[in-house]
Amino acid sequence: MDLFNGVRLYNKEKPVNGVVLVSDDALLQVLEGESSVLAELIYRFSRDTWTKDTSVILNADIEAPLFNNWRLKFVKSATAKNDQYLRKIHKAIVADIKITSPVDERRLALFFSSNLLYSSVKKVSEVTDEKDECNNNFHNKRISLSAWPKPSQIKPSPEIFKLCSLLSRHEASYETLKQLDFFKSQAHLDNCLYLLDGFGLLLCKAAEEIVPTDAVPEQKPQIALVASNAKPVKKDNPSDRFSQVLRKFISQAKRTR
Amino acid sequence: MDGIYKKLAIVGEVGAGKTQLIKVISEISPFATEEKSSIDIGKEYTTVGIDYGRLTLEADMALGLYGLPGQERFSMLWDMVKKGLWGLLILVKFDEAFNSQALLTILKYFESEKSQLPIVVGISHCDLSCDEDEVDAFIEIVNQLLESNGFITPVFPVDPREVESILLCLQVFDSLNTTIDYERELSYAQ
Repeated sequence: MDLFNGVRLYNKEKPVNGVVLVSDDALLQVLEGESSVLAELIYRFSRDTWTKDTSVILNADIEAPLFNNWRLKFVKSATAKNDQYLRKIHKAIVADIKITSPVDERRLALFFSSNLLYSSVKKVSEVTDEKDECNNNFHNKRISLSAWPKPSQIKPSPEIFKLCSLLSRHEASYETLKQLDFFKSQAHLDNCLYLLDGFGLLLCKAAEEIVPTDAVPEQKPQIALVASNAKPVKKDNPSDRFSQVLRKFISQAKRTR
Repeated sequence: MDGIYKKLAIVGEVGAGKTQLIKVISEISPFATEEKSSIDIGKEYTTVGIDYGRLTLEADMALGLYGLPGQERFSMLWDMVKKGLWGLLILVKFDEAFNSQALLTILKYFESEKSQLPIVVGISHCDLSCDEDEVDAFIEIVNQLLESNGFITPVFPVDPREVESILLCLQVFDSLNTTIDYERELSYAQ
């Protein structure tokens, strides 16, 4: 984290553009700028206590810059958005890279999928645990949130806040989410889930089915049935009243501005 | 009938905008504890104690605003307001060497599984950025730090000078608080 922050601040001071890709403990930096500035940056980078085994895998003159800014990108999974971005980078530079060391080969394979790079390496998406992206299919899945969306990704709204708030602290099945009154319609809920999933922010696990059996005591299936259809009961407690009054205050304050 | 009084704590480093935020939404003159800084910290005055403000919502209902210094050595002040908080807003300054340890210290101090305290990380001074990508990269750094330490907390830009921006914050806190009831139902259901 300190390393990224150092690079971010250094790159802000010097005229360097590019992107930093992060996958697990490997970093891939694509840097564009004056050769002397780049040399200094690479020197500092290689001497940084947070890095080891730094190697330059491509050093070339370019006619026009490919990046107009500096970006930091964490590539933890091959979501549709990441894949598209990586393909762009791959097209721009990776084809020119001549790998001489097996270490670099392994590092590069962390970022680029096998069909883009080598047939023998695993796609980033394949290196996952039981939690995985939802791939826009939420049925029979237990959904949770890996990180809140950035304001630049989704327009903030009370519905989004509620959904993210719930999923950030609890796994919920799609079927349960449909029964909550967060959204005006199911389509609205679906759209929000698609958006969050598109940014790689949702995690899904297969939901375990609740199958009543004879061995289960009589009342249990009932509890499961009630629970699976449960809709939170609105209680007239002080917190509810505070929330209602606060919401009214916020909407009035927004209207008067 | 007893009144309803909730507490929002605003914690952040020097110059993050705690005092300013309270000044903007408090309807009473904030009880500020600002003193002239003896060293160069980029501004003349700095908070040395708790800033207090209040937002009255109805005759018997108010939100208390407590601005607290972000340094761990002032944790006795954190203890004074920690109990029964409605929310914790941690202000982090954009465009400075990001003190990840300070943020984690505050989070770990306030967060406990039992309390389910709603926490928001607000990035202030985003107007110093020349474009949205820079702010995005900064938010990404903060998000990664939170995620790697087991926190899933909303992180977004907050302008302590703008009422609109503060209202958005309050909206997020309201959502975080109201969904706690849903979470209890889900715990039962699942």
